Amino acid sequence: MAVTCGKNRKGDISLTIENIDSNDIEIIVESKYEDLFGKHIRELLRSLATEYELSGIRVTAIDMGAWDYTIRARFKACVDMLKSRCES
Amino acid sequence: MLQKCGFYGADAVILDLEDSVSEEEKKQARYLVDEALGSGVVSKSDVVVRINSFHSPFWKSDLEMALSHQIAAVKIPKVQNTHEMKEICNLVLELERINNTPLGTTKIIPTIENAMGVMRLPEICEVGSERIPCISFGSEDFMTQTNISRSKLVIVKTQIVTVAKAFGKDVIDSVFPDFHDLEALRRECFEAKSIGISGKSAIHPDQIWVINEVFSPSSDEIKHAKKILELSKQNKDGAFQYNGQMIDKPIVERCRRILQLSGDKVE
Repeated sequence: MAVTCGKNRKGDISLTIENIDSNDIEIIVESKYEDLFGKHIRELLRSLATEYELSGIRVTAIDMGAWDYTIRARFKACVDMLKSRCES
Repeated sequence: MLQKCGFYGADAVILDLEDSVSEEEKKQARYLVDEALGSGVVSKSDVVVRINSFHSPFWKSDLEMALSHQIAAVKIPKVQNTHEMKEICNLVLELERINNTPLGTTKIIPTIENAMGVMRLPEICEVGSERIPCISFGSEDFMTQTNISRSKLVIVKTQIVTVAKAFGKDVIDSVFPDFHDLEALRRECFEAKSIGISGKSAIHPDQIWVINEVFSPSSDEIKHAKKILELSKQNKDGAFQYNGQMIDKPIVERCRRILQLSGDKVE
């Protein structure tokens, strides 16, 4: 199961969260600003996964210069979609 | 992008959850506005959130989110009767209690976008009462419903201004959609100002300086208003003459309003 939120447009981030076979949290980030913010984005995504008590997932992020509030909002939307898919 | 919106000189920034957001993305947009307001990237005191209309399934969640932040106002689109205004006011009151917001302080800006809204505007103003600082007009939906052309909207806008002023409310004009044509925007602003409209919404940052220029008092107007107020203090008898013109109470009041608008201290 995979869900995607956000778009590949300036200031946004496209986040895809999918289930994987292990209990790990895999984070893949592709960003124009990798040198400046790559580490920060990874840390933020990992902390969000922990906050929402997710494991056994891969988070793939295509960052177009998103600020933290955008990343948080997109992550929350992905979690929502995951939940509703699980319930249905 | 929201982090940039405070830099363009607008009096307020409207974060839109309604027509600029597709049905599928309503929730994502709400989360985005929620996180942006919570993060402090925008000054909440300047933010107005346009929620979805009462006739959509989203308005309650939008309102709950918006009022969990101390924003300047909520803008309600397509208001057309007192029933929806009452329902909205009831939920606003309930949310003020939940969020420990002083009761009655949340501002609501109803947007009139259809013929029924114009017809029912007096009752809408009555129901919203003190919560309503101004009435907003939405021309695009109005034109779609009524087939009245843009050039003839001035008639409807004048009607809205007359009713709004009867209740002590200002009117904010609709956006001008062609953001490349600043001269046409300027003409529309002057026309709006001439019928008593107090300001205009912008759809693009480039439009803000034109709108501010037209709706803000000019330096000559401010100078003139200061002179009149000064003379009115000296002339306690009521009407007096200045530059060959009779100056009486309504003119003095208009001058006072000009100075208020300019941000000058008015005694």
